[in-house]
Amino acid sequence: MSWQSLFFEIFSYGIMMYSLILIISYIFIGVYSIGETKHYLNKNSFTDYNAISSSSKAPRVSIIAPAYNEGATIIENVRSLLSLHYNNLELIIVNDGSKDDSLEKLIDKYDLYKTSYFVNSQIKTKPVKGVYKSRKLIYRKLIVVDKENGGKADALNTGINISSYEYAVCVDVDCILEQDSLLKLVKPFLENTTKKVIATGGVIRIANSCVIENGRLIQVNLPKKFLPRVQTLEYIRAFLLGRMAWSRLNGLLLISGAFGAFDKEIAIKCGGYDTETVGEDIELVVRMRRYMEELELPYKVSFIPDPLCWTEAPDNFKILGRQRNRWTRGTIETLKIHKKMFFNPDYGILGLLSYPYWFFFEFLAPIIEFFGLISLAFFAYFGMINWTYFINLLLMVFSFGILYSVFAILMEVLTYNQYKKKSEILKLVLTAMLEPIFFHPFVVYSAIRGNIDYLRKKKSWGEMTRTGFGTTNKTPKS
Amino acid sequence: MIQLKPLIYLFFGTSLVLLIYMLVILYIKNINREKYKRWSKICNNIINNTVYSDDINVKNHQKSIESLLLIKTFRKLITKKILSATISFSGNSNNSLRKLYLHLHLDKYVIENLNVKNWHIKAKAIQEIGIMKLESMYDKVYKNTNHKNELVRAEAQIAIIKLVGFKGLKFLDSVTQPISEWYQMILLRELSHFDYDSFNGVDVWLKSKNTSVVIFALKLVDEYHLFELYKEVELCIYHSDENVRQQTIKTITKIFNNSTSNLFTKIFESEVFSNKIVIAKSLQEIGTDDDIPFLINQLQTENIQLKTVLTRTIAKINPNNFETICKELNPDIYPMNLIILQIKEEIRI
Repeated sequence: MSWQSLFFEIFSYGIMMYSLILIISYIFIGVYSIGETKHYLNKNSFTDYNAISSSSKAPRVSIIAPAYNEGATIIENVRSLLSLHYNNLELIIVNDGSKDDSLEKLIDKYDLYKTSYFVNSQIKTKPVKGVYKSRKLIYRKLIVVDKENGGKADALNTGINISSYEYAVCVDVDCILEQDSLLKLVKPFLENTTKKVIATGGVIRIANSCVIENGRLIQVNLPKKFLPRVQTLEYIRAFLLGRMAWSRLNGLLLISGAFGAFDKEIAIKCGGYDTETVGEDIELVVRMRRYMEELELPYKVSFIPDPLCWTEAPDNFKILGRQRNRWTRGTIETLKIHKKMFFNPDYGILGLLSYPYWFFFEFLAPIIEFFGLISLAFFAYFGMINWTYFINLLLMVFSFGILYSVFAILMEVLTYNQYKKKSEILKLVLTAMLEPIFFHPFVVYSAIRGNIDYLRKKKSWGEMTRTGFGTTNKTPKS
Repeated sequence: MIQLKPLIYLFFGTSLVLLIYMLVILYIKNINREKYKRWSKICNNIINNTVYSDDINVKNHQKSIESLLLIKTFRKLITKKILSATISFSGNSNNSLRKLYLHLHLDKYVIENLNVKNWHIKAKAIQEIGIMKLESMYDKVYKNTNHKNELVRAEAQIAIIKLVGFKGLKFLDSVTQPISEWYQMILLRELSHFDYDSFNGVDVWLKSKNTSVVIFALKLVDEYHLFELYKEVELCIYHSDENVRQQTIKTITKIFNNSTSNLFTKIFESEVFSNKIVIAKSLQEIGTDDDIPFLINQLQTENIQLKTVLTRTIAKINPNNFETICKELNPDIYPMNLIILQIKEEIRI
């Protein structure tokens, strides 16, 4: 056997083994998530959230929403957040050195004045220029912080420093939250008696093409454009299957930065969000978990399958590419910071399962795929490819991708059934078939770009332009 | 080489089966939606007649839906609607709804569900018993107040309160499983629906080995201002569990006497940080001028959060004299200069 053939054999079998393990883990995730979702739905079916929403005994929650150049929609966004059904609440808007008129608009609309607020910088941040409160009693829950620009993580840390309540709920200011979202998010902190719940997260859904009225979601529609629609499918898979399964294993590493709640004390003890990474959401959860593991304290990161938060997905490849590039860099940075945990039994499930899974199947997957493609070209050039077998292999992966997506859509239909029309479901299935051809290669490309940018030590977030909800009242967003 | 073709057929085939299954489900769901709309209308009519008309002709209602009652999903729907209406209404309407429920023999099914092993069906049945006040099932529900499943146990505890009010709290004598904070809130809310009736046993619960029972007992003392239990509560301040001690500080603040602030200053040094903050906040409500030297002394702490709370406490104890006291607080040195500025503004507001 020549060295080329030997290399080819090893390479082929390696790729085959990797694919099989990946497929098996997806099957496990899919099946394992069913139990957790079923358990939650059964439990939730007789929970009376209204009983607590107006109670003065409800836990006190600080919502922290960083805002950077959100002038076009800030008033609408703040109004939406202020209208949430929850009694013990403070809303902290952190103006992260916006260059537009966000602050002036807020001061004007909410009749704000600058207070002599002393900021206890338990977490180091960029300087705070002022803390504003409203003269009007109805806006007493609102605190606006004006600070020098330092990025999202820095703004969130400032919010944590300012907040006076036990739980910090970090949200993207332009997200649309369900009215009972806070209650659902806070409940896990109060119901666990054996383990300390350190963070909770809920399902994020795509709001493109949905009808938004006065900062509230009125009608759910499947996105009309292909890109947001394929992300809808991606989110259903990730949240309804992936995160539910990891939550059941108590191995969840990621609470979405768009909407997540944290035990403030633990977050501060861990040093808050890391301003040096662009994946501050995953990094904080990993660090909090690591902290609890090192202290050998029983803990849980909880996740609930209810759609609590609606966000606008990128609808063009340029913005999508920036987002995926950033996600890749965030993953690499987090994995690097916490490399000590890799297959380290001292960290239990976190070290033996969660971390390796993220390393092999989140970080390495696009790299392997990319080099697989290059190798394919190489082997094809030397005539070493068994094309029949290759096409079968491609079909096998393609068919499994479709199966996994169809299963995720089925779970959605059986549980929350947000898309009620048969045509919407069929469109989703069609999207699942098109995804591997028109969407997935771009995601791999963006991830590779992310790896390259990481090596080039690029730290920027990349501008994320959004259409915004406030400007499209009563009309579906396309 | 692995044979791939069978896998391809398997994956495509399963996808197709799942897709067909999904479409069938959607079709059934859509049909059911129409059916439920019709049924909902029938149920709403019956419930509206029951609630708003003085003459409740339950037998007529029963006749009109006799055949529908044989269908499990209809029974579930009407039960759900009656339960939700019962929660919303009180007085005569509430009684009429209970009558309707019993005349439709819906209680027969609740007994069946109570005996199943499936936890959520059992818990739902218990919830139904509580809402419909089916007192005859008290013993059966009571048996579940220490059930190993948290949901079943919690619903049983809530139902017992719904059935007999404060007397139902006797389950605290024997419960060994923890009561979560969430359910403690629900239990207190349920109790608030009853006129306060003196209840015994709190002194025993305060000594329970189950720390969640101790915390809940402390919350009861707090909620119902049980001043007579001051001494028993005071003992809990030396409990080994810091959460119990924290709740004790909060409770004792509500039933305080002349010696309470002394007690707080005595334990302050040895307490964990979070409890120090709670003590400082409690002194805002019950502290006197006598406590101010102690508080000023504690300001030497390096912790800025504690410094801020302590300064606020001093200001709240004697707001009129705060300006003078400030001179003793290093008002020109960071961070006290900024803290004092903030507190002064708070007092002005």
